Amino acid sequence: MILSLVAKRLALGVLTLWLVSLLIFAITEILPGDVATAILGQAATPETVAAIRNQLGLNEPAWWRYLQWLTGAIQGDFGISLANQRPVAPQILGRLENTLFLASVAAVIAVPLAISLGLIAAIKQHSLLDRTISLTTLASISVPEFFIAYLLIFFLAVQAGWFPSMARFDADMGFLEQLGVIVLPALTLVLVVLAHMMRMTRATVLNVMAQPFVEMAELKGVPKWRIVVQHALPNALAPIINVVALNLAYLVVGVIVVEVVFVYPGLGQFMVDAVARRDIPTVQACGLIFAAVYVTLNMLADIGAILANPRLRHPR
Amino acid sequence: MNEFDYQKHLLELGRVSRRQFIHRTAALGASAALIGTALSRPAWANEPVKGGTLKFGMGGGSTTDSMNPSTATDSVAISQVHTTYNHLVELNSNREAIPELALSWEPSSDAVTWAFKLRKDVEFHNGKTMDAHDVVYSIQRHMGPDAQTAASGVVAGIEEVRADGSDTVIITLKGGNADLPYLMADYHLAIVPDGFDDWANAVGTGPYMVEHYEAGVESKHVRNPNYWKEGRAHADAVEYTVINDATARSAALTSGQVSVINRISKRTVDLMKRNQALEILNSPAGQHYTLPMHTQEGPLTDPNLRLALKHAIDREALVNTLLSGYGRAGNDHPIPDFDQYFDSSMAQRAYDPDRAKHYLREAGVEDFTIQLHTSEAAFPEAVDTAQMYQEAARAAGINLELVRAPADGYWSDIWLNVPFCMSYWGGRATPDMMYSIAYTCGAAWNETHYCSDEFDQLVREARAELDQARRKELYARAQELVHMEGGNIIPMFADYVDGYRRDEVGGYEEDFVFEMVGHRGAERLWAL
Repeated sequence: MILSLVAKRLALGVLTLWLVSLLIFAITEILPGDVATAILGQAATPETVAAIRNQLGLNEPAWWRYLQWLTGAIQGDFGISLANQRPVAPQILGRLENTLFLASVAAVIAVPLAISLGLIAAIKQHSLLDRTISLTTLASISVPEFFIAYLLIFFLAVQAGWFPSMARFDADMGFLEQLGVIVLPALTLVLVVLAHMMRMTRATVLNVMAQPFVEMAELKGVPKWRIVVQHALPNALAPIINVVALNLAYLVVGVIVVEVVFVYPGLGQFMVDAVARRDIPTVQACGLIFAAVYVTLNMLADIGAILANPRLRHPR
Repeated sequence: MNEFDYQKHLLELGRVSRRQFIHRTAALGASAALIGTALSRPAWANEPVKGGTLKFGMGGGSTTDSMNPSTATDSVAISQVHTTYNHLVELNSNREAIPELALSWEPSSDAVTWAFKLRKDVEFHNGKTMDAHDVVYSIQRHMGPDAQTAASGVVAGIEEVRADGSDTVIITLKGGNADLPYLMADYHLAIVPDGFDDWANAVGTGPYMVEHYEAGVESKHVRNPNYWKEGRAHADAVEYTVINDATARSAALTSGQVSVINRISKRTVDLMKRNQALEILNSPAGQHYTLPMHTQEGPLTDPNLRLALKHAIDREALVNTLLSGYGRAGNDHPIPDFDQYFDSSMAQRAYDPDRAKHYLREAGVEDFTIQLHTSEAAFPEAVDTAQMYQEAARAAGINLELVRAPADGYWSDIWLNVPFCMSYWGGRATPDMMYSIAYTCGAAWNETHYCSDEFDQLVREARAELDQARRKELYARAQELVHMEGGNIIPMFADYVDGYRRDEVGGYEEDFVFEMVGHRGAERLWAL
């Protein structure tokens, strides 16, 4: 059952990726200017632009360039960056590692924290604790992320001097040292994604708590925390998993602002630069990676939901 | 307050440098004694220190950069060019052409043929000895229709480059040009080995060798042990970190993660100045903002309309509010006030709604409406400038319709294509470089499509003129023509503002060529 679902999802995923690549290519074609004018900016003369276009093969028809790119990509060759003439894949790989590192550190903190806070808020519904949790997480999600980042930089980096304001690390730093360097961006991301997951946990758990079988458990004399953890949470897992998956995807693909503020060399900044320079092979590769992250996480969320809820295993 | 006191006030506020102050007040006719009294701040004892690492945090880098000097257009790449390569000619901080890889140069009497005598025993990073063939290759790679370079305008006047023996290069021009040494200092014309094109492993003769290069992120350079230039390149290593966000850049400097930053936001510069650990340095380098109006077609062909628009902008207010005083009102011509060919006898154009109305009447218009395209891409304060201009122009009966264009694609789609928009120019070392790139008829970046036989004749004559006094006269007339009938509104000259940590770096001084000590911080600064 699960295997056939995974197979179906994978096939759909490949189709999605292909459509995404087509879409990205079409959109970058529609954008005004091309890599030749974008590289030179104000300093572009018609002759130089023509020379660069010629050398990069931009005078070929668009469908031909797309086909060439596609055949390369299928064989694992993502081509040469139009802007700096270096292979795309190794450049992206380093950036992807950085992005995944930051995202996983943030996720490892944010997901358990959000779910436990949500459960605590549900158990202590209407208490002062519940309100405090709701208020602080809502406040942190309401403030733009760059502003949270600036606040953290101002207090923790400039005033206190505890953490560096720039998250720059070398490969030869130890793991703990690397963690120390990315404390501030990770903290910013945690604050940004916390509220969504926490509120979803609280809401769905409370929803389940209104069901008759919970009332039954209560009448039986089961303590409140056991009702929540043993009875309510498993039944509330499906929507929570979905929200968690969405937020994990966001941590990978949506953190450009945080990258810029903390000078963190992740994939987001890389893609934005590539778009600005009309560097189509790089944009394509980044777009595909982002799309793949979404497809994979959504698939995992569905599988997780099925595992958590036996009823979904037997669709009628 | 008279002009001298005003300048003294600016000096005390730190808005003008000591050198600018001398330039400006001397132009006013102030005596040396008077200027000396005003400059009471003691000069620092400034002895270079060897060793250490210079850490730069810079805006103006992109992941699509490379070490190919041909396509260097923004700050980080230009600094890296000067870190890795040398040029035939160097511009010192007073923007005078001094020998670098060329020992000396000699023009023919008509300034058409130039002989550059090269320095001997200069080695590239790979051990090869530099000779005339390397220089010929390094210049020729920018010439011809197939060259992929941002310097095609710089080499456009060159007919032929050839080696004469191993240490002389002869450059023959299409017409006389007394400024050729300045052109040879253009940062794109870096000297690389003959036939070299492996930009991922850059080789030059410059002060530092590339150790690690990641475009748009960082680069690390170690000192070239065989560097030939004396009294330069004091640090053992140089690091550039690309920090494009202005707030992040300031935070990195304030918290001590880098020792030097460029492009301090003019909105927060006064706050940074309060920090005693930092030296905030502004360099007037001729960078100016322009509002080009098409003169040959479209709605602004009538010179009276252009004069009306020129009188309807409040330059002083723009400089004071948007630049926080770190700049100077422009006078609708591109020659900065410290340039040797600047004609100071010409009156400064002021905000005058009545004059503007007068010119509107001359043009036979009562209420005038015109679209102005603006974008952050033109310059950081462009959108604010447009809004303040719109307010000021309303009093003159001019209705500016602002069209805000996206930064992305601005240079390819808006600039040069619409009749009235916004743009900027970095300072050029000579009037000819500025005029022949953007003001003569048919020039590649003539953003106003200005075309005047008299002006072109003046520029051509002045270009080949080796007599300074005569040249000055010619440029004064050219300046007047652009000021009166040209298509550019030049509201302000904007200084470059850099920040230095006083306890970590020495050797900084204002520079009349570029930001960051003329982008030569790597070899001119030292780490403390």
